[in-house]
Amino acid sequence: MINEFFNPVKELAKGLSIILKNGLKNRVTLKYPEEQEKVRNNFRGKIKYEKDKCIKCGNCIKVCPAAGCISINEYFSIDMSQCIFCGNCVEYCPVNALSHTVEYTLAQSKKDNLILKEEIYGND
Amino acid sequence: MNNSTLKNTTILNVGPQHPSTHGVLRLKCELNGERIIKIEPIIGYLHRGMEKMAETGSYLQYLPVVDRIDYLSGFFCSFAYLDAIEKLMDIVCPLKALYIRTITMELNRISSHLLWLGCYLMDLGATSPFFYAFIEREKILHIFEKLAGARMMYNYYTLGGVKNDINKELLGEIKVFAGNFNKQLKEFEDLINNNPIFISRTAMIGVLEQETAVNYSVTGANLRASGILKDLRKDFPYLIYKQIEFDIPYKKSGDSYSRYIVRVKEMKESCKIVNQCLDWLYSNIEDLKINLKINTAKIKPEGEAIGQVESPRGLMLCYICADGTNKPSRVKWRTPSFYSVQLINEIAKNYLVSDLMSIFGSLDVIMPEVDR
Repeated sequence: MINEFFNPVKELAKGLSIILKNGLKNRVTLKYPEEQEKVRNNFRGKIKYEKDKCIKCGNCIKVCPAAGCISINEYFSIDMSQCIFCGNCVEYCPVNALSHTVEYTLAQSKKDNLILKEEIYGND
Repeated sequence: MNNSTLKNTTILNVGPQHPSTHGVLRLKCELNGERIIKIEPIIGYLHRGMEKMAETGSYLQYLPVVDRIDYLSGFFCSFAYLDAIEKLMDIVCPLKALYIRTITMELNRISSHLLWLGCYLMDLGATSPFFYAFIEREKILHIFEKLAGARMMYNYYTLGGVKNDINKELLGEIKVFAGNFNKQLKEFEDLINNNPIFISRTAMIGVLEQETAVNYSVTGANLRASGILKDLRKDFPYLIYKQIEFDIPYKKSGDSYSRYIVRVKEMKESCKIVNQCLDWLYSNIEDLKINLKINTAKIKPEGEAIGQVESPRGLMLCYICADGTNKPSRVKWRTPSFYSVQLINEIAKNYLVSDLMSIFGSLDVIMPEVDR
C-alpha cells in the first residue's frame, strides 16, 4: 500500500530532477532573424549560373524533375518558385556552369523577382 | 455511418486539420457517450500522384521526387526505388557505397524515431521530451546536411552508389554522436519509462492482437510489438546486414506502451549498427570507389523488379515495370503507414475519446506516405 503511493511519486521526482538538470544547460536555440546559423559548404541553396561556361547542351532541362523550371532560348532562366533544390542540374552539367550558393532566404514580394534570367554569351 | 448499431450515438469529426493527426487525416468517430463505437479514417488529402508522376519523366527525373514520399526517412524511399532499378540492370554497388548507405539509413531511422518519440509524448501532454528529442535529431540533420547538402530531402543516393564521399571529419562527428546517444537515450528512458502518468495512458491501451496484425498485413515496429518477430534486415538481408551483429527487439503484449519500448530499443540497435559501420569506414577511408558513374543515356532497363527495404515504419516496397525506354511504364509503392492507418478502427474501438490520440500516435503513421 505504501509502495503503491510512493513509487509513482519517486518516479515523478526522478523525472523532475532530469528536467531541472537540463534546465541548467546552455541554450541550444537561436533567436532567428537576429542570429542565423551558418550553413554547411555542401548546402544546396540558390542556383548560380555562369554564362561564359555554358555550352547550351540542355542537359539541365532533361534531368530537372520540375518540368518548366529551366528554359534556354534567348535567355537562360530558372524559375526559383518551381525549383525543388534537388541539385540534379548542377550534378549533370558537363561544364560546371551551374553551382549552388549557400543562400536560403529567398522570399520575394513579387513572383517575377524569383525568376533568374541571364543572357547567354554569344547569342547573336 | 447510416446504419448505426445504437440509436443514441453522436458523430465526431477529428481533423483533417487537427494537430494530433500529424498531417491531414480525417477521423470520423461514432460515439456512445464518450466511448468510441466505430472509427472511419478518411485519407487522400495529401495525394500528389507519386505513382503517375513516375510515368511522365525519366528515371533520373523521378529520383529527387521519391524523397518526398516519406519526408522523415527519405533515404529509405530512395533506396527502395534504386534497389529495383539496380536489380533490373544487374548493378552491384561498390562496398564502400554499401557501408555509407547503411550508416545513413540507420541514422535516418534514429532521427525518424526521435521525432516520433517527441511528438507522441507531446500528444500525451509532456512537453520536455519533445525538446530533448529534437536536440538529438538536430545533430543527425547537421550530419546529413554536411554529407548530402540538405536536411530532409537528400537526393544523395544515385544509381550504383552515393553522390558525395564521406570524409574523416564527418566520421568523427558521427562517432561523437553515436558515443553520446546511448547516454541520452538512457536519460529518455529514466524520464519516461516508469512515469506513472505515461504508464496509465499507454499500458494495456490500444491492444493489437497478433491475428489482427497479420490480417491487416501490418509490418515494422507495430507488428514486432505484438510478438511477431519479422524484420527484413534479418529475413532477407540486403546491403551489408549479413556481416553486422544486431538484435531485433520485440514485445508480446501489443499495447501502446510496448510499441514505445520496441521503438526505443530499435534506436539502440541502430546505434550499434552505426558503430560497426564506423569501424569499417575508418579502416577503409581512402582508395575506394563510392560511385560507378553510370552513363545516364544507358539507363534503359527492361523487365519487372521489386525493391524492398525495412523503413522505420515497416516494410516498404517499390515495384517497377520497365519497357526498355528511359521512362518506367509503371511504378507502384507499398508504404507501411497505409496499412497501419486502417488499424485504428480495430484497436481504438471501445476506448474513450481521450485515448484516441494516444492510440493513433503510437502507430507512427505519417500522412504523405499513406496518400503518396
